[in-house]
Amino acid sequence: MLSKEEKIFLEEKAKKVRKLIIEMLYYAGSGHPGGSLSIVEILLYLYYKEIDIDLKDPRSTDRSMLILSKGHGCPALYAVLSELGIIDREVLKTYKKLDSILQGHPDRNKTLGVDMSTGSLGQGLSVAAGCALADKIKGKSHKTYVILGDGEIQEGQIWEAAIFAANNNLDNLCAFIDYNKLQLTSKVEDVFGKCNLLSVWADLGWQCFEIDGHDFEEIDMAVKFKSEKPKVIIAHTIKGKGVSFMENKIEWHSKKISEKEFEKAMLELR
Amino acid sequence: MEEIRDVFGNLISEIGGKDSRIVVLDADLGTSTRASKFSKIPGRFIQCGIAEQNMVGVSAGLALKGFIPFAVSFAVFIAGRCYDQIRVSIAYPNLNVKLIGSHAGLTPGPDGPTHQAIDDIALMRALPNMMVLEPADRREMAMVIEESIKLEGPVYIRMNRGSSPDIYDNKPAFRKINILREGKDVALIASGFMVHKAIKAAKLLELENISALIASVHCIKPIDTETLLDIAKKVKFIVTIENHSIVGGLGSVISEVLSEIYQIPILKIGIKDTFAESAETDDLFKKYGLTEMDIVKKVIENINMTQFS
Ligand SMILES: Cc1ncc(C[n+]2csc(CCOP(=O)(O)OP(=O)(O)O)c2C)c(N)n1
Repeated sequence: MLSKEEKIFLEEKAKKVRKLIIEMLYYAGSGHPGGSLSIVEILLYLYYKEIDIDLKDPRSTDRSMLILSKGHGCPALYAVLSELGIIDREVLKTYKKLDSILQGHPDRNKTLGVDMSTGSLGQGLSVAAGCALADKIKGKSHKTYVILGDGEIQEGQIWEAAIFAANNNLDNLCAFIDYNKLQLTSKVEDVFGKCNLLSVWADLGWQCFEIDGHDFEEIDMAVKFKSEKPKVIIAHTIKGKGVSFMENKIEWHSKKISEKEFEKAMLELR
Repeated sequence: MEEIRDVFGNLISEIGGKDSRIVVLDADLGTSTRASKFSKIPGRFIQCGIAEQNMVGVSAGLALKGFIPFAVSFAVFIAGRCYDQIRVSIAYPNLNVKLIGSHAGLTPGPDGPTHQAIDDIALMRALPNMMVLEPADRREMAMVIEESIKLEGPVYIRMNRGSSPDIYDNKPAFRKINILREGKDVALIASGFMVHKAIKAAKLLELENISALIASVHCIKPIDTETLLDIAKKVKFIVTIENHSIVGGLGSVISEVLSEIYQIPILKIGIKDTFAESAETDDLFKKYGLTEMDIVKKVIENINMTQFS
């Protein structure tokens, strides 16, 4: 259970991180606000409660790790890493600019604290399964977390990995599906159909949870739940969460933020 | 005669028995690729099923955690089917994964064009950070396996099906273009399976009083430019010989490199930008112009060519 103080602390952080995301995207003149704002709570929870990055050696993989498979949401990751003191606050302004350590999609080698390079959707679950398997072989008790988009799981490789993880009993693997119901050009349901995600993953041998992905207590409960199977947490989220005019709007998947919009967003996030 | 895939299977099992960093991943072709040999090692043989893209991703994860994964399948299914997975999850993050593509070029014979990797070198060498190796015989194969374990970073190793007669008496040098025989008229520069054919061709050319240098290129990327230039200076022209399309393979590499530093005609023997077909491998080599006689003919037709004509 999260203590009241922890909850308040994380909620304050969430506001701060959303502001950093909007700033980053505004300075960059492009980027993905919708899918960054929807994963803020998940990322904060994981980095403050589960993943213990050694600030002296962020590259070490002898710890629990996170793979942001939906790499386009990386502004949220960069903002959280900056709150942890791994990325300098000023450096956030260089996101996507020439010579920056902050690439448009996560780059493990350029950015300390980023555990895996991603950007081509559908690949992160396999890599996470590899990490989890490695920890099993070595007898380590670390966990591997991965964040998938609800559109991203249309990729076939996701299902290869889902079968693999279940068959290899990777109970140290935990996947979040950022279930914000939108993708780049349409609603997820328009292409994926009205399939019951929970029962599909359960049938493949995963332990499934359905939570509010913006509620730290629910995230905590799902993550802490002991399971003998790999875990998938279907997190209901709002694309563009926190900025009223971006919420649930397909066009805010990827869009330049104007000066007016920037000011309005920052006012709302105060 | 031990095939190079047997060398791979036996050697990786032997090394893996002692070196606990080594894991082998199979995608339901282990009996053909000889990856199955590794299955006797408990816990470190990973059967991924018919899901190569996932296998490549799982390898990346294992490498992140310090293992040295060997991901093995047919060359078509590694380099072709998993190109983007290799690109994004292995080459870009520069992870220590060794990719083994078996049944290269026309060597899957009867299985036909879907199984014949004629483009894998072109694909893999276009990737930054990727080393591309094609061993010609059991000694090169053993060297390539041992050295790629010592080396931190992604490596693609291409191996053929079928016998690969010995081309060395002693140990080849890693990363070098190894000159098997000196010559002054023409240089036959070959890789993999084709080196043996170059040796046969050189013997036939001798009967015609043509002196052919023979070089084996096991390391296609990065290419040994120094030796290449030395070779170019010794002969009147070069013939490259590969069990791959002439688009993007060994011939392209040699042409690209030499065109910037030395003027010499370079002729290519390889699959001429076409899909082949099902047949016994030897028949395919005949039909698609990859026999020792094709090499001999190419040399004789061009022997009077001067450097600048
Ligand atoms: C393989 C691949 N295809 C297409 C894209 C382009 N793309 C980037 S984000 C996106 C939509 C992703 O939707 P979803 O996974 O639901 O993410 P979210 O809505 O949370 O941003 C697409 C199609 C990509 N990055 N990778």
